[in-house]
Amino acid sequence: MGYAVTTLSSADIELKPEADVTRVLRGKVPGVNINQTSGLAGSGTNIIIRGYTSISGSNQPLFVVDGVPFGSSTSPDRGALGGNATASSRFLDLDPNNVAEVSVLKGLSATVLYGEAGRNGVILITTKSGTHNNKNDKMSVFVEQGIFVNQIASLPQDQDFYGNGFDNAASGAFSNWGADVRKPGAQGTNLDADGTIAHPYDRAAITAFLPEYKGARYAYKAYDNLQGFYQKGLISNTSVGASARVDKTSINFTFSHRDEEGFVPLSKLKRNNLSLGTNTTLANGLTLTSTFNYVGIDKTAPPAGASTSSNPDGAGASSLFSNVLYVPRSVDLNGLAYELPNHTSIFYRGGNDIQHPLWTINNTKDLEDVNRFFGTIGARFSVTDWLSLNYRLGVDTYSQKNSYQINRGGPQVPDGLMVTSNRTNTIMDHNLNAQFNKSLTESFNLDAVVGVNLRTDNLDRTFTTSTNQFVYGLFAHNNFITHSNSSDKYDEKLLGAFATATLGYKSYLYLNLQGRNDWTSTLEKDNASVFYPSASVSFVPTEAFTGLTNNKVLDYLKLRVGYGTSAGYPDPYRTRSVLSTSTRNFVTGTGTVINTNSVSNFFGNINLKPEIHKELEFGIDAKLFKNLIGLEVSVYNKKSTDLLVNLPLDPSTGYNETAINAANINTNGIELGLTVNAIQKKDVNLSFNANFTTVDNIVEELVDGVDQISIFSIFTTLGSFAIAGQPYGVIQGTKAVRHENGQRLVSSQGLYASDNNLNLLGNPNENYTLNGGFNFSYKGFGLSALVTYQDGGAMFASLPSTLMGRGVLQETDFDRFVPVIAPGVKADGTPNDVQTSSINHYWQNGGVFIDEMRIYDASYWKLREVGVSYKLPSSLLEKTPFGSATITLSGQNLWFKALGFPPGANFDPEVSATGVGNARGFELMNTPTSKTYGGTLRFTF
Amino acid sequence: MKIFNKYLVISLLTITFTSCEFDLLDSPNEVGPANANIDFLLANSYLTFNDLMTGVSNNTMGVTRLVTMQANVYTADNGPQTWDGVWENAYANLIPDFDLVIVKAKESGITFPEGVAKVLKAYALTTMVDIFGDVPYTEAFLGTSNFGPKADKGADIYAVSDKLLDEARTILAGHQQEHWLMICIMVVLLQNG
Repeated sequence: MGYAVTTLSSADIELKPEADVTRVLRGKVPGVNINQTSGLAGSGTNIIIRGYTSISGSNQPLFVVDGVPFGSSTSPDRGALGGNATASSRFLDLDPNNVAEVSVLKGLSATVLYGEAGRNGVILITTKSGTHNNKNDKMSVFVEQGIFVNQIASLPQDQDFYGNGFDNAASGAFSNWGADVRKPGAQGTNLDADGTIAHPYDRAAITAFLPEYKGARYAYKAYDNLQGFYQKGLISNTSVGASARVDKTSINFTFSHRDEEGFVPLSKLKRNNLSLGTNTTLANGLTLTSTFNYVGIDKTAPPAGASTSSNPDGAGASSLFSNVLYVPRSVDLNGLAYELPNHTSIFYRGGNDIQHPLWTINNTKDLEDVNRFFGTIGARFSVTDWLSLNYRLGVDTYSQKNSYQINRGGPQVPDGLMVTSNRTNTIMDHNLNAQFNKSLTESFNLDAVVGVNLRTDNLDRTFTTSTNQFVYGLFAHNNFITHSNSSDKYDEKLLGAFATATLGYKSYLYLNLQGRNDWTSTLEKDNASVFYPSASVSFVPTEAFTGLTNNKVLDYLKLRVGYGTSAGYPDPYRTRSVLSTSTRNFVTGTGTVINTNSVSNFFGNINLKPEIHKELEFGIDAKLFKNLIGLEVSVYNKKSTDLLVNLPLDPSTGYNETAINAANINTNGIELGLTVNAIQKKDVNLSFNANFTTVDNIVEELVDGVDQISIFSIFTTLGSFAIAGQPYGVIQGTKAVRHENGQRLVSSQGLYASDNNLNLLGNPNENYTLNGGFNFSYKGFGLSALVTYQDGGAMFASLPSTLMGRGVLQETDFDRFVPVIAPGVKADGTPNDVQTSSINHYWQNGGVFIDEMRIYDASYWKLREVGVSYKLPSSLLEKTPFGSATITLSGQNLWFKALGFPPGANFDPEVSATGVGNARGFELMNTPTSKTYGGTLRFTF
Repeated sequence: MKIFNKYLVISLLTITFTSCEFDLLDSPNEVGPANANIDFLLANSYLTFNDLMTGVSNNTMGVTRLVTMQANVYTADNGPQTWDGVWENAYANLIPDFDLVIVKAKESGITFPEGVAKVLKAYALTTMVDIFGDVPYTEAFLGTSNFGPKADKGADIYAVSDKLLDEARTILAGHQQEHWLMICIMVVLLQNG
């Protein structure tokens, strides 16, 4: 092999608490950045291999399961503000306990077999039922049962002495800058000598229905809010499988059931996986293989709209988490009643503008139902012992139904809402090829594949939005008063012809040449065809030079260099202009419905071309000191040109968007892997392993006339951008207004002002990631751990800055009567000497109002996994029907420390509020993370 | 055996290669620009014109003290993005629709829509000059041929508007009845907006 591949076996993947197979790979594969969106059950995962090379398209890798492409997209119904961090990625449908092997192909030269969809890397998964290599005649069965506890990992440490209010007086404010609970009766604080205030529900709107609150008093003290709100959920994984061989046929079968409860009642996942694989050899040299898989998923999630300091920011958005984490210390989140008898939400605010989180739990949900079938049928015919013909058909079809339900009565969406969507996605993949493997002479060996590949993708979607709920509690579209619907479909075909040949000289020099020509249906005829070749050379000096074989230091050395190319195609229907049509734009006073036509604001680009990627890679694989040390190094440079961009246009061009080839990106990276097998004895084994990854992604240039392209926009003044000369995805946002001399300008009130403009704030890409772990075993007992360190990476985090700005975090336990002088200069340039209250300074001058104040360095340490296992000695099992019995205990995300954040925030930076996509480095108060621990019992028969 | 397989391979290859001509470039979710209908285009342009004028009015009422300003500092009330909606409505949404109405009216020989479109287009252009001063016109509406159209002098755009109004006056002279109907629709829309 001339290219970089990392392979993990089932031992690294199975028996872990995660539902998502990619999350199990975290920390184990250099060059691959796997980032969960949140810790909620079934939430999506962002996978970036060797950096970002697409601005408007997808940077996610191709999944290939048992040799055929596997639909792996994440399809949220709402954008980042509405809350897409809970949307699931479709590789959640894979059962980690049914995975025999995962290979990650990182370089472009490895992807010519899979077409342009593999340009961001390929994750090759072989399922246990797809392995087809059951050689023994004996039938074997296994049963596994795992139980894990799932609890919230990222709870902040709050101070316990100041309560709800502002300017040191108790009141029903959003913030926690109120009275000191240790000084009841202090003047001007509204806190009585007995430590009580008027009950927040002692107001006409509530006492009209609940008279018991009239004149009631309320204890003003620190309540156990967060600990009482989050729960410990239970995860149960049951797996049964069997494999048998009868004559020339082998059958492999697995069934898994997963039941996962999250750390809030609304977070749940149920999954059933059924998998069957067969392999038959017929008399005339024909081998037939097949796999059939069915998955059913039932997922519930809470609404998770984004928020930057208070209620959810998106228009009409709803969120469970936006008002939980900064809830004032003296507000009894779990004790205060959450609804009136007519089901209206009530909470401590006089104007009732904060939705009670318990009302959200009882009145909203985001449901998802997925049914999926995927399978392959393959035939292999051995023409001679050196030539075989293969045909494989892959079918992957899923239907995903989502239903977002909100009852009326809550301040976030007062009239109620029901949004349902239905997606049906089908991929059919035909692959016909001839494989050739022959020794041409005594020294030369040729291995070649020539083939054709046809892939079709169909996506059908319908959406229905209903507002204005009629009868409370009934979620059917006919129970809503106003409706709007839409539907669309996307069809795409890709035809590829490919050839790959590896010429081997003796067993130490290999030359590999590959080429593929793709024809796509998404570009106009002149630009629809692209040819991309690759070449690589690998040389094994330890085999070549007799002087090197059998030496004490170097057991094995391989040097490799490869040059790979790939192309990228746009999404369907981007080349032609259309007519914008719309119905029901306006209804006149007499009830006439007005429908409209309009010149579309999308400027179709007939000349759209494919994007081109070229990569040069060097690598060294070495084993030293009798397999004591293993070392793998890869260094690469990737140039991506003519990148496809959905470019916003200045409206004075008459349009506001077009699709264009508009950018070049240059990527450099280094990947290192180290294994130290310290002890390798019969009963005792100890090995250490580490990997190191660094990626440098720079946007080289953009098309003339454009100086920045928005990759992801959160607000008009905040987002991720591609800017010539800057790293990909650099964050821009507002800064405090500066004096000419560069220092922050302080007003006569002692406050900063936001400049309301886009400034460069930070690079969200880390400098490097280091993972290290060990594996120890003694007879049947095993112990392992994996630690991750990420260096650098800027993050825009709303939660820690909101907790500071509102006076909740333990770091705000200071005497609030002491005034503060904000660092900076006055309008005349002299150092600021204007005092302002500490409350004004921490609230107004902090990140809530000025984006640059909530950019943190996201370097962190994390204890990713810990595992203990014990395999019962076979002597104990002789009289039982069991062949083997193993118990494994494992814990995940048990400890972490984010170095750039206030320690009390206990912040976990491994989240992505922008969901699966091209933006990173944003946290918007809607992505709590979890830690899990528990064990699995596994029996084989 | 070998011959059988050779034919099988060739026939499969032929089948797959003849499907090389994919015809999936037209979106099944929209229709092409040739389907534009003047009445529906005009309906949209009335609604967009309403949005444009409402936007202009909302953004200027605070500064002229017809209503209180939202913030206590001028720059907070009128930030860099305050006028995005008005700019986009005038250039990307409104004027291209008027231009297409004028083209379609000339093709079909029905002149009333052409008159309407010219009047409203002139009004929109002069409004933009009143707000922004020099704005693009001659280099505008060219899509990706010109990413950054240069601004023309306000006086030149006023001259363009005058010409449009003159042409419209001639056309509408023969359409008295529809003229009044159109004015009524405009008044209703502006009141409801």
